[in-house]
Amino acid sequence: MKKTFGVAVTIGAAAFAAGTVQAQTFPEQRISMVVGYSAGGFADTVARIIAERMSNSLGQPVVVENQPGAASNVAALSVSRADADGYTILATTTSVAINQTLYGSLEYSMDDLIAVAVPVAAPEVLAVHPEFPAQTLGDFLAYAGDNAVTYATAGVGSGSHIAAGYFYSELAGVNAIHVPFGGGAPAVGAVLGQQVGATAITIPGIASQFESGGLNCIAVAAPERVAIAPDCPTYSEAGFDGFVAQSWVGFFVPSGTDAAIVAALNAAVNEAIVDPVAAERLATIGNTIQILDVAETDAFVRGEVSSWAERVQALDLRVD
Amino acid sequence: MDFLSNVTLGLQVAASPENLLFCFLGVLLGTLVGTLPGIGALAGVSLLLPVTFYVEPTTALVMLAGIYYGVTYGGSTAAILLNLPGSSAAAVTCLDGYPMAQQGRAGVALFMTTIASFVGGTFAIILLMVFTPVLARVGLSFGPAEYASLVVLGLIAASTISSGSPVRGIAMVVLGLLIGTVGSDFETGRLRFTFGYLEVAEGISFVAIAMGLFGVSEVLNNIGVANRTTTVSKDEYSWRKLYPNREDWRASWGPMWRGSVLGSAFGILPGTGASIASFIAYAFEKRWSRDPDRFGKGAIEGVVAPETANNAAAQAAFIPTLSLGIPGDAVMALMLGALIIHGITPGPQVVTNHPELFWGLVMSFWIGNIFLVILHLPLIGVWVRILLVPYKYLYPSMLFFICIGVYSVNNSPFDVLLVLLFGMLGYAMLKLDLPAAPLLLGVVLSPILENNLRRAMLISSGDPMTFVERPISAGFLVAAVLVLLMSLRSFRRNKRLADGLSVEPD
Amino acid sequence: MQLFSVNPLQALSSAALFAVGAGAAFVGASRYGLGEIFHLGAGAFPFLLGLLLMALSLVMLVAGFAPPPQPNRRQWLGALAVFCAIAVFGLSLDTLGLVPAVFALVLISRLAEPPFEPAGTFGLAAGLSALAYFVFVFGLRMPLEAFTWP
Repeated sequence: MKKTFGVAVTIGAAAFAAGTVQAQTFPEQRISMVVGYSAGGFADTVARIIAERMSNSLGQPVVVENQPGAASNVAALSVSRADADGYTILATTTSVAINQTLYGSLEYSMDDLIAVAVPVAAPEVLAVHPEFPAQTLGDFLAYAGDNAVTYATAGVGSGSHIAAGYFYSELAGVNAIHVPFGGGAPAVGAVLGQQVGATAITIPGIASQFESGGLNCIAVAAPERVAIAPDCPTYSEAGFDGFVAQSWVGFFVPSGTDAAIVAALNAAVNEAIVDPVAAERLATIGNTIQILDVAETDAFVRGEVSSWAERVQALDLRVD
Repeated sequence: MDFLSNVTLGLQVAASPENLLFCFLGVLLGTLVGTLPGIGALAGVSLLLPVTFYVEPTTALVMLAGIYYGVTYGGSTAAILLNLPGSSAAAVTCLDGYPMAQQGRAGVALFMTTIASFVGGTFAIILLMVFTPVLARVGLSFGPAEYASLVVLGLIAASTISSGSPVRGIAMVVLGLLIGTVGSDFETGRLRFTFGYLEVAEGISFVAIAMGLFGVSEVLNNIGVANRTTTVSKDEYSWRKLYPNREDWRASWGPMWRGSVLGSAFGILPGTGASIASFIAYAFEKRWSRDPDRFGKGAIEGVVAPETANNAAAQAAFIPTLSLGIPGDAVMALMLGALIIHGITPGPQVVTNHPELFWGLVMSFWIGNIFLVILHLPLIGVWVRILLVPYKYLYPSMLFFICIGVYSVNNSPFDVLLVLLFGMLGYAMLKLDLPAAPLLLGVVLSPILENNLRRAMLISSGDPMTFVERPISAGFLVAAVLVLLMSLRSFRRNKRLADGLSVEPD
Repeated sequence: MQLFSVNPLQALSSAALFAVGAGAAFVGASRYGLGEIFHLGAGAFPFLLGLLLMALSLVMLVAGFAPPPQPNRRQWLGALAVFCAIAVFGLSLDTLGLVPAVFALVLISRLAEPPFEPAGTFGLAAGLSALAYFVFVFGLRMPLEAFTWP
């Protein structure tokens, strides 16, 4: 199903010429956007918004295919092995950067993928129920020193888990018990029902609770305060200078894809995301829109891989 | 009290021509997708998601929700006619629906499921209108310990639904739980029992298991049977024979009422409730019945109760989704995603800030349920004619729908090979008289049980007393023990009766 | 007196369940880790289930349930045809395409119920292929192609 007419053309033509010809006329057929998660997740929602608008700007349908599995490793592996012609795009999250260190044996590496664009990012936050005895980060850490405090996350190996675990054990030096859930929504439900003490989560999953006052934000892992929770101090303000963690949604193509095609896709994604309606809607739930060119995107992803590597190694986490 | 004005507002929104049209489109697509075994609501919803970018958010949600409960309506058709369940709830419907079809009573079964679905849906909608905020809070008071105990109760109930010994049922539940552990562990990410296949890292496709155990094994069981002419002839498909008689109606009102209550109660628990509801409703009816032996052999109550519960649960599932912003499953999550695309943040404030959306949606459920009845009743006459297709053409078609339905879940040819494996297992189980439905529920509930068990132990700092110290959890466990004791006792009594007087008293 | 008259089919299913339980318990305990009581490991749940299944299989054996007698039918070849049909469908879907896969499924599975009746069988295969294409590929947009080969 991934065999394409493009391949036939490439085989027939001289290798150098083929790249240019492809780039000039790209895209000539439908593009598959392979999402590494089930339909309905955050990455899926962003991918569908962008695919919809890219279809219009590129003049070819961009079709979303969900290929969930092993924290998006299944999809990443399949895209890394696809034809490097720009017709198969991977849509994934921070996990692809984390997995490089977290997983003992991966059948692909970041060298097999080219980062096209990382248009959406959102900071991690720490939130508690309004009736929880500690309502500031300082109080929370003091409380955690004397009591067994539990915190819920969207799952083991998620950015939320690794960032929070790193913060507690390496920066704050307290013992907090991690309670993983299957996704952000049940984690929020657990703290709403006061089953656990706190939740560490990416902002979009909890934004509505901040708006309604159902939960309180006590720290945000961003360089500055965020508009969705203006009263919530940053970790830096609370004395943990420079602790920043964010989750993002990014797009990748197999390495070896023609630079001109990568640039065309980068432009198409960025154009889709700055669409005023799309940008505004993503921003209302706490996302940051970032417009990066191909080189900047590459630098961003490399930086993410190394900073998550440091945290994963500090926590001594490993999945085999 | 502005309840009436809210209802009026909702009716005005839901009855606008555009919303009526999209509601109809939603339930129509839901019916079509649901009738194709294995093709779930997710396929339909994600197909129509792009359309929702261009319409009002209320209209978008009305349509997506229509697909969701339309699929639940449609799911019973293939279960009754062909023994092909696409969901765990439909597997319960197979137990008595398929025997009814073999006895020439497919029309009655389909008719009553339609009515049952309508009653269950309606009951849950009323609940949704009156009690949403309260019920959502009740759902939140369920922590990991409560979920784990509830699952235990559901599994014990499931083990008693097949005829024969409850021990065999429990053994199959445990086997199902083990099959459900295949894939990556939620807490360590460690791959378990995958034998090197990354395709099952997220667990074995439920549809592959259900279709293998029920559909493939049924085809195998019918292959090569001499004189397997259907017991029903053409004239039995006259329109009059399709409709339930007075006896059927009288037997169905009780199960409908109880199924509505059970389904609504379990439906408000995000994710877990809907799968358990129909099993518990079935087990309850069997226990309630004066003649439990008829169950599994074409008892109308065995079709009506789970179908009512199933649809009540599907409708009640909107309570946590709408009032808390906590989706129970992937389809609900996708609907909330559609709201985000429209700039509405799903969560507690939706009901107050967007009353037109909340009440319009709720009232559209009612309209949608009426559409579904209108759609389904005339179709019954068409569906039952499927059974007149000669078996030599029917079974390759069944295999085709099984294979393509299983493939469609993950777009994975590997899953097609898995359906083969589970077809063999199902055939062996049929020959050994081991019940398949409890195994299926075991698979579905395995991760819910294990994960909540481990979470509860984490939260209680390793104190297993947490399960009996928390009152709701303790209540479920007591109920589970009672169900188990009762079914063991009645099984022994039956066995003694069956063995004559030769068995020593115990 | 009843104790030793174990039905052979019952013995077979008990033995199979016992083996599965033992395997799960062993692998769970030895390879996945049992963890501690407050922090159960990945192997704890399979270990407990394995023990439970072993116990239940013994109860089933001792309690002496007899599966109802099955009519003896000559259906192994038919079953084989059905298995092959599904396997070939799964293996040819991506390599050959949807239409060849559906034809293979129908033609091979029809061998299970002789006579073969070429006209009806090919008609059925063609009809289901068309249905598959219009409903699943065109309608539901499943990522499949009618022919990927040649």
